[in-house]
Parts: sequence; structure tokens; C-alpha cells
Amino acid sequence: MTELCSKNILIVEDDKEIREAMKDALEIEGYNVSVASNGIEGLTSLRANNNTCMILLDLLMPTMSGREFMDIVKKEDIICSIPIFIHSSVANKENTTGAAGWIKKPADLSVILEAVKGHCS
Amino acid sequence: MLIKIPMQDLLSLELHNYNSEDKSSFKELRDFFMQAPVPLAILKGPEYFFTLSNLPYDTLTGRKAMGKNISEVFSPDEIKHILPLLDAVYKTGVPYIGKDIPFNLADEHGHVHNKWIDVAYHPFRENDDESIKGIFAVFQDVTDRVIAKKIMAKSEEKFKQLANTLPQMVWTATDVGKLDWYNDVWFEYVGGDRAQPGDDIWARAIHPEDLDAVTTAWQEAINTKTLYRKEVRFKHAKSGEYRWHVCQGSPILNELEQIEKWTGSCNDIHDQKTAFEMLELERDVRERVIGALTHDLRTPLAAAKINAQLLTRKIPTEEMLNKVANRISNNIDRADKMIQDILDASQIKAGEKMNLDIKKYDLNELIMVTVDDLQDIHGARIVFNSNENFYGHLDASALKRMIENLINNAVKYGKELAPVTVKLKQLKDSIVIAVHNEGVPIPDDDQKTIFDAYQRTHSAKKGVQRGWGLGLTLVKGFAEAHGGQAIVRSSLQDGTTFSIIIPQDLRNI
Repeated sequence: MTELCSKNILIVEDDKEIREAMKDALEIEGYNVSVASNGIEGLTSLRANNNTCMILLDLLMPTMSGREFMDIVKKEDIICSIPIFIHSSVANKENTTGAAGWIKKPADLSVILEAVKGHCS
Repeated sequence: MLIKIPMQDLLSLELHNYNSEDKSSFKELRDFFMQAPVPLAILKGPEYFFTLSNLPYDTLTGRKAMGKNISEVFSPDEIKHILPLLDAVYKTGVPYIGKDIPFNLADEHGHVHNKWIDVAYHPFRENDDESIKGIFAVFQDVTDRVIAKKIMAKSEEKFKQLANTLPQMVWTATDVGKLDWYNDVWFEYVGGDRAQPGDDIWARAIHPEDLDAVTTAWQEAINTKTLYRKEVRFKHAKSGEYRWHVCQGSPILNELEQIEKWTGSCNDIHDQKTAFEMLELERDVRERVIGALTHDLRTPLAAAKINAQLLTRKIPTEEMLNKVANRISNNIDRADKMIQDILDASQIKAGEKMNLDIKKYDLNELIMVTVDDLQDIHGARIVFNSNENFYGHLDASALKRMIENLINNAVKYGKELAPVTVKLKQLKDSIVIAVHNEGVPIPDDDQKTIFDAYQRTHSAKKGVQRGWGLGLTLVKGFAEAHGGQAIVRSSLQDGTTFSIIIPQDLRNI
């Protein structure tokens, strides 16, 4: 059970094409992937399934942005310690404070997989 | 000190009948009178006999008056003016005060001088007697003051003449900041009649939104006695346009550092200011568009890159391999489409003719395919009630892009999760495609400019949605290239509907 839990990843990304490609890439590597297209969907998914080992998060999203999502997660018991890795075209040192790491789009798949491996192996 | 000596005794110094103490008092009083630095005279009886005139009086009038009748002192012409005044005081007991009275007075050498004198004629009573015995005249030479005033008036006149030759608005204000003169340019600009006293010309024309700031700044300048400077909009009477002016005013201070007057001007800076604002706006737009463009172009590139790198990894099935390869191709198309949008928008903005590929299509099917594609992305909230066999001659790619833009906007800016309805109908020889969404209406002002390139409404800018502000420019441009038009109707009750109206058969146009 612990083994399974540590392989659960949540992708919060509004672009369907990126979301699907990352999901496939991670599933090929053996991870269990949940997807959400904005912050609100992300929170719902996280609260329903809190044994997630990592969140891959976009910043610019409608309904609820990545930053708002992260601020809420960081204040909530149980889910607050889940590492968040930011994957966004506008990511920088300032707007990713509190994240486990960040990378600008378009990113190398290997960098994303490396980051995930660091937290979910 | 009580004086009980008839005036003639005092004047003739016939004082041998009086005791020495009284004599001393008379002497003292007489000295005081004679040595007073102000011109003084006493004229007695109805003939106005000068019982006393001191040296300043004689010097001012240029003649020795004491001991003479008025007719011996003044010429008949002078008497004609003086006598009625003296008679009135003598009869009524009401003093006469005259300010700045002009006199032609000869000096001891016979040279005549123009002088201005403040004159006071008071009734003269002796002892406790109530009856009027003569006139007590007090003069003050105010020639210098009057000349200074005349010089000032002349220089003011010159200033006004000069100000009326200037192309800008010129004004003056009183010490307390009340505008009291405007040059001709004001009246040409503001229109209406010339100012009546107390009429605030500037207040007729000022933009209501600028009034508070101007009043505050003006009061501040008055309080601190410093330069006033403010940009303000005034309504141009002929065009009805509010134009920007920069108004400046300087206080003129007297020797006590008090404000004596204000002079100022207002220059029309509207064209410079508007040009500057346009530059600022263009800069903002450029930065915003580049920002949005960079982000949006990176999205398909990011998707293509992940998929391309996925190809180098162990892909389990051929089906998945095809899916990944297709995704790469689709995302390159997405990026290319964005670039095409920018090029087309530039072409539309430059007023260039768009090339259309006109063919016969079933519009119903064309819209259905477009809606299906978008339903994949946005879900079943996109509703299209199809008709059957609705043919038209037009450019299918342009029509698809118009509908895509309108639906994407409706999803982006309309009420969340509420349906977006697409309708197709015929209107005489034209077809109408209408896309409707619920939600906050577009303000009237924004509706007027919403189709302009790089123009995003205030509510769109405030919202979380990004955009380049090109989508509706493309819709309008394509509609017009088809000989049609794009319109918007938006209200709280009915929601927002964007409609494209184009001829059904473009071959006939």
C-alpha cells in the first residue's frame, strides 16, 4: 500500500494537450496519474485522494490559478506537505516560493521525470 | 483744556484781556494748529473768511489764505466748484468727504500744477454753541497715490492689450483667487457672452471630473502663495470636445509679501497629450500582446516537445505511438494557427484585402464539425441545434475560425458552465450565425471598440483570462471580407450575442 501511495501524482494543467502528454509520459514510467484542469478541480481531487506523492502544477489557469491553489494547499492539514513542482511558461523564482521546484515551459521531459523520481520513488 | 476765547481774539493774538495761564494755552493750541503736518484751515461765516490756514495748507494751495475771504483766495472758476460744497456743509452740518479731487493749483512762482487732493469739509462750531459758525477744512495731497494708480491702470491696460494678441487663454485673478479678467481667446473657446462681473467663465467649460482637483490645487497655491499649475479639460464650444489644457498662474506679491493679484494662462496641450497617451497605450498593448503571445505560443510548443521526447522512450503500443505522433503534428498546427492569426489581424488592421477561397458548403455540417471539435475541449455546454441542408458559397476556413473565436470567447468570458448556444438562420439573401452566452454584459462603451485590434474590454482585462485582443478583429475582418458584418448585443437580461451576417452566396457579390 505504501509503495502504491508513493506513486500517485496529480497534474493540474489547463491545456489538454500538455496534460494528456504528461499523463502518458508518467504512466509509461509506472506512476498513477490523476489530472485536473484548474485549481478548484485540483483541490477536489487532492481532498478525495490525499496519498499523492507529488503535484505538477501550471500557474496560469482559469477559475483558480496555480498560485491560489498552492496557497490553499499549504494551509490545509494532511495535504500541506505534498511537494509541488511548478511547470509554467511564466514560472520564476518569485512566483514559485514554497514550491519544491520549478521549470519553464517548454521543458525537457527528462527534467520533469527526474523531479518526480526524486519525490515518488 | 477748555478754550473760551473767540476765534478772532485768538487769531489776532489780542490776548491782553486774558490771564497768563489762558494765554499760554491759546499759544499752545495755535502752535499745534499752525505746525500740524496736515493742511488745515478754518473758514468762518457765510462769506467763508479764512480765520486760520496753516503752512501746509498755504503751500498746497499755493496762496496765503489767512485773513482773506474765499473770493480773494480762489478764482471764480474754483469758487464755482467749492462754494456749493461749503454751503451744503454750512447749512446741513453734514460733513463733505471728497476723494481724489483734481485741482489745478499754481505755486508761488505762478506755475500751475495738476494735483489730486482728498478733501474733508467739517462743520465748525464755537464753544458749546450748536450753531455752525464756519467750515473746518482738512486736505490731504494724494497726487502721488493717484498717479501711481493711473500708472498701474495704464500698465494693466497694456497687459490686457498684449494678452489679447496671444494665442493662449490669459486671465487675471484677485488677491483671494477670484478670476476677474479673461482675454478674447477664452470667449472664442468657451462661447457665449463676454463675462459679466462675477461670472466664472472657466466654470462654464471645465470638465466636471476635473473640478475638485482644480479647486484644491488653486486653493493650495493661494494658501502657499506659490505657482499654480494644473492640467485640466475645457469644453470647446464649437466642437463640443473636451480638450486638455495646462493652466499656470503666478501670484504678484506686494512689499508685505501679500498677494496683490494673480496673472495666468492656459495652453491647449490636447494634441501632445493625446499623442503621448496613444504612444503609452501602444506600448502597453505591445507588451501585453507579446506577453500573451509568448505564453500562448509556448503552450503548443511545450506539448509538442513532451510528445517528441516521449517518442525516444519505450512506448508500449503502436496505437500510442500514433497518438503521440499526431499530437506533435496537432500542436505544430496550433502554433502555426496562432502565427496565421497575427498575420491576418495585421492585414485587417492595415486595411488590406483578404484572400478568400469561395466554395459551396453545407453550412449546417460545417458548423456541426466546428462545434464537435470544441465540444471535445469545452464539453457539452456548447449547444448547436442543427437544421438540414443549408447551403452557402463562402470560405470554409474563415467561417470555421470566426465560429471558433466566438465560441472560445463565450466560454472564456461567459458565465461558467452555462450553455453557449450557436444558431444558424437565414435572413433574406444572408445567413446569420449567432453565438450566445450568459453572464456579465459588456458595457456600452466597450461594445463600440470591442472589434478593434488589440482591444480587450475593461472587464476582460480585469479577469483571469488571457488574450491578445485579436479574436474579434479576425471575426470582423473575415465577415467584412465576405461582404458582411459582425455585431454584438449585450444586456443583463438577454446575455451576450455575437452575430456574423454574411451573404449566403458570395458568387453574386
